[in-house]
Amino acid sequence: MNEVLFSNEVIVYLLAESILFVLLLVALVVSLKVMFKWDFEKFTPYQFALERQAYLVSTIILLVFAMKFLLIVYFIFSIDALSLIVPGAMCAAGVITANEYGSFLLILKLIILLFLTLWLYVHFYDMHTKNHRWFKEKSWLFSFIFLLILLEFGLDFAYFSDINIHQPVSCCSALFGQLEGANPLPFGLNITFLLVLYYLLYALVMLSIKTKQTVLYIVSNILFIYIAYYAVVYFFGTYVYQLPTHKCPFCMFQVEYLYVGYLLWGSLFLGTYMGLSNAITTLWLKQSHDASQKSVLYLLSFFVLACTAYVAVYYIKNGVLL
Amino acid sequence: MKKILPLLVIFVILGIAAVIFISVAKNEQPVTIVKGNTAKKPLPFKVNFTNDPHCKMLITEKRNSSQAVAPDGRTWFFDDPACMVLWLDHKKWEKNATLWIYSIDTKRWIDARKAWYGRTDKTAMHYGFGAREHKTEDSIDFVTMRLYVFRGEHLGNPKIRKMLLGK
Amino acid sequence: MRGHVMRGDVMISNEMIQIENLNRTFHHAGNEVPVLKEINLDIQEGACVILKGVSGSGKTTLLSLIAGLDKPSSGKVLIEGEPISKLPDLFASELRAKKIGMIFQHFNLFDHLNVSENVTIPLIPSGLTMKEIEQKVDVALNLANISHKKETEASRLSGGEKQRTAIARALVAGPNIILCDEPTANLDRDNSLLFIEILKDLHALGKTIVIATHDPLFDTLSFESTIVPMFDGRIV
Repeated sequence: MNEVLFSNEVIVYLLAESILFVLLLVALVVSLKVMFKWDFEKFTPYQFALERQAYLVSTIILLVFAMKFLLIVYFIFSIDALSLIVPGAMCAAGVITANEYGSFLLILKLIILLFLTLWLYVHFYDMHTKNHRWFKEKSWLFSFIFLLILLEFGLDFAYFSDINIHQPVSCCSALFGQLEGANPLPFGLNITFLLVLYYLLYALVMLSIKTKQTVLYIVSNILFIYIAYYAVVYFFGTYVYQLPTHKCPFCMFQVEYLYVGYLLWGSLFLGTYMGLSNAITTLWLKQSHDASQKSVLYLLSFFVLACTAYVAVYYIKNGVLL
Repeated sequence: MKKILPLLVIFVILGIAAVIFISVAKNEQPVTIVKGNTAKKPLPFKVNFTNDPHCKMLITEKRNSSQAVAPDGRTWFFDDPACMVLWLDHKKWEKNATLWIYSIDTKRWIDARKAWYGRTDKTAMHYGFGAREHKTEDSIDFVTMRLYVFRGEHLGNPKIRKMLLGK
Repeated sequence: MRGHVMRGDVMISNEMIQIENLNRTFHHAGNEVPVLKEINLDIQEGACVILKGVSGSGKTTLLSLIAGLDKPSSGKVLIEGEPISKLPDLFASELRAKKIGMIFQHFNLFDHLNVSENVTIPLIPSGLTMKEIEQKVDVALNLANISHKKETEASRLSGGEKQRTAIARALVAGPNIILCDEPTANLDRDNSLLFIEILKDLHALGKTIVIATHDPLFDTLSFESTIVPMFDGRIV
């Protein structure tokens, strides 16, 4: 058996994932039964029993989904901890690329969290109707999410089982360092244009929230998160590490950098998830939540301000940029 | 304020479009791989604009540069014969690859497996294995050169360097 | 037609509470315990209904279902046409807060709070200003005849005073329906009669009143009321 599976963090993580998976499986079985027999207009004993089961299922799903958000933080923490035993890895970057499963698993987890957020929004609106108007939509969405979580569950075990602690992996400078003369940025951007695009897209996201233009918001937020990734890795991150050649999205999760990665990436992704979920439910269910849009505004603004602050503080302290 | 916001949105969108358009138009990336070389011939490449995938450096001269062509026609370029040997190691199609090298003596592309290699030549990554079309007294064949590269018996090794060059 | 009012061409029922084929079964130690069986009852607006029956006849369970505090096993409970038995908790609580006042057998007051504070509690989530809340509390205290004990801590009240505080609390949000569960069980005869007098005033105000009791004092009320006898979970 792979030694990685005996690591404390991995044991805790896989155990937690397994428990949550079992709970979701129970919820899925009950949910499917309820969904196919559901008729809210009836006052029969069976319908009342279905409504009680629906409430139970929603409670289980709410709990599990809340734990999923915590678990991804723990996942990052775990793979960062594994960098101590995986040769060549200086941070989670090396560990995540230790086999072909890692990057795909991480992206899948991020996509799942988006759908979890969407489910939470649909659930909220459903519970605020007198007749559980979106119960079936919510149930179908949960069924789809379960399929993704099933895939994720398998990949979790495949990934951790396949990490070879006797084979060196690349560190972040090899992974994110570029070929001489090559430009890793999209659209052929240079750093100046990357930053201009970053702030323009942020402005567009804010404006689309203010002017309540949903489709524009979706497009601009997706573009923003794409450009923000490159901006953090290839520019703002160098100010977190205070080293112009240190380009890595993962090292900032470490204690040396005050775990600021959790705050930065957390605010970006949480803001994006909430914003996109609100936008999708606006188009799909014709429901919108103004308070949640305000939260999106604050989260994304915090992210941009925090990134900018690192540069500003460095400049104020040293009088030059990196 | 309400009248200004839509105008601001249009202005920002135009700005984003301009940035992307200008960047895409100016974009010039160094070449790392060329696809479609099913004839498996040596391809011309732009010096100082082509990357060696092993050492990740730009190839600065044709002399001692090499090319590896996979059975499906994908072609990679190297600035040193040793880089090609090291990069090819463990590729599933290594034995079926077509290898080209630019010879020092005849100054043309030749089959790297049939070339003869010196041990003390000036090469880009300082391994010392310069390629020749014609055999010389001290030259070694491709198989021996490959063995020396994997055993570390090249000019990059100070002991070998001292043994071969006396310094 | 009894219990119906015409408005133009539309027939509108003035039944405040409608109960149709209501059943409630509890599950205990693997056994099913049917507590309510096929209850059908229509209570008109402004009516006073006495649910009369011995302990265990299902009166309290029926009141809980009317208040939306519990959900039935089957059947309908409609409050002004709204199926409270089907409403999610959020809406059931809202409906209960606006339309229903409850008076319990053991009063259920907060002993460490005074009379005024106890009566204020239902209005806290209402969104009213403090001034508006104080006005409503004063009206409720006057109706229940307990204004003189406004600042007295609940633990220092007599049984009758506690009951009147509970009445004030039930009335403060201005509900149309008052539900009373064994309201005189912990009162002496004099206080029970005082309680009935207050009920008479509430009836005169047009409140719909439902009382679950086995107190014989309610057999001969001085105002119009209907006795609904219950036994073994059924209306007999």
